[in-house]
Amino acid sequence: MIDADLIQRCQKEEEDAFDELYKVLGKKALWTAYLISGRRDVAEDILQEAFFECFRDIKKLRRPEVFPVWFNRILIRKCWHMVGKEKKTAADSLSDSMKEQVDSGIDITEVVEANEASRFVRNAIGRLKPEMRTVIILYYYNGLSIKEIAEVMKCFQGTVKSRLHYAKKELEKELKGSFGSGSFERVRYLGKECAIHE
Amino acid sequence: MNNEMQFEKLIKNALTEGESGFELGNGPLVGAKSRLKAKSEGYRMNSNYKLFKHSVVGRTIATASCAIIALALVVAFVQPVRAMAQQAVSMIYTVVKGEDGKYKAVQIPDDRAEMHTTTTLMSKNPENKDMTKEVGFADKIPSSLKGGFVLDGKGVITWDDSSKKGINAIFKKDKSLIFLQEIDYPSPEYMNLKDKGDNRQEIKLGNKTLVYCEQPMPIYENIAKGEGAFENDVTRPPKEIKTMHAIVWEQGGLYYILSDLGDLNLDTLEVAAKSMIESSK
Repeated sequence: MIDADLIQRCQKEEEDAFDELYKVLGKKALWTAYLISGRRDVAEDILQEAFFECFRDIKKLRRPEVFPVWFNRILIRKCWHMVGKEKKTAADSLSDSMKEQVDSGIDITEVVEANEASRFVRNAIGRLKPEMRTVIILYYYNGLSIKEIAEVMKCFQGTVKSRLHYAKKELEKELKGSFGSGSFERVRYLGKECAIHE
Repeated sequence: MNNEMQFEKLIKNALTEGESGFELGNGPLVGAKSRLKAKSEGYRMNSNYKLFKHSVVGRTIATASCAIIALALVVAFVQPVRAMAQQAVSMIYTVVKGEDGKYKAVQIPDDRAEMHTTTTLMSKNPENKDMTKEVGFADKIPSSLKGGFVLDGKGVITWDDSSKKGINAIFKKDKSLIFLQEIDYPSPEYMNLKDKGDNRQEIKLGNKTLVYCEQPMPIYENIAKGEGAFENDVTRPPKEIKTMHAIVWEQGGLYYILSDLGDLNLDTLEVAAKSMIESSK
């Protein structure tokens, strides 16, 4: 939750308020941009674009309580714009992500084992159509409501619900296909058991 | 925990996991702030970019049965923007006022253009109660304006950078159209016309002061986007530059922009504005 006072300070163009806002929102926004764009360098460009527009236009925001929707709308628009520009799919992201981890010296075996299911799910999300991928990310990662996502994406709530439904179906299909054709497969996930039913 | 919940948890965890390994550097912040600074310093260099920024509709969506309305809206409010938001367009055309006072098309890099876009969903017979619920204020738009202009359609207008919503209405008389925007706050285009429109002049109507002004209205080729939607092709020079005439005013907490397609004179618009003011008293 963003403090209304912080928004008002940003509207007065207080520089330390800009810094604070970036600190509060930056990481989540960066990860969101990464999940959608699939590339760290592109995600950073998106972040810069989004914060530039946010700082520039925040004065126009009349009601601080709508800030999350307003900011996410800017962010998502920038993501789609950059993704279109780069002509890269998010599916590329996970191999990049793994490469980054290898480069950084993290024990890759451990990463693969611990994150196998997550990585697979993220890969599958990366292969979804951009609109579906965005809905999934905004709903499950950013925790926005259906109504808020509709406002962010400028579409009807019914459209969001349907995208969410089909995205989940698509993911379920992919996961089933990849984890075996049996009627009940178990995916080891961070030491817990997650069931995928057929 | 049922399978549905487990599946949702799997998705949630997959999306969250990995975030912690991502360090947030200051690069994007520094970049954004320096661009902001450069912008505020360089902003005055060419005030015409402001005009670009505050101009309206980048994309208009209309129902298939309202193709004329859609086209008219595109023409009336247009500034080019959605196209460049969606494509990697490196240069685009906009209109500036030359030293000779005439409007002319110039090419500018797309990264200098401001993306201020709006969308209007038009309907021939909208339900007033639905519209009131949507925009948050009671619609005062009459079914006709003096001078023979009859309401032809109206719809809700939204801005990409604001949660505010307003109403756009179109009045028709023969081939002439009048556009009326009603909103409960001074929108960017309202402020732009009121404070920065060309050839501004005040009009007194009783104790009310209205502002008349003009703005360039580039007519671009349209690119059909299906389902009655159009986009302007801003990668090519406008085929014509018209001058839009507008009257703006505030009444009872609502802000109005009344404008034409460049074919009406001040007297006609003034009569129409006056009738709108009288009808909403």
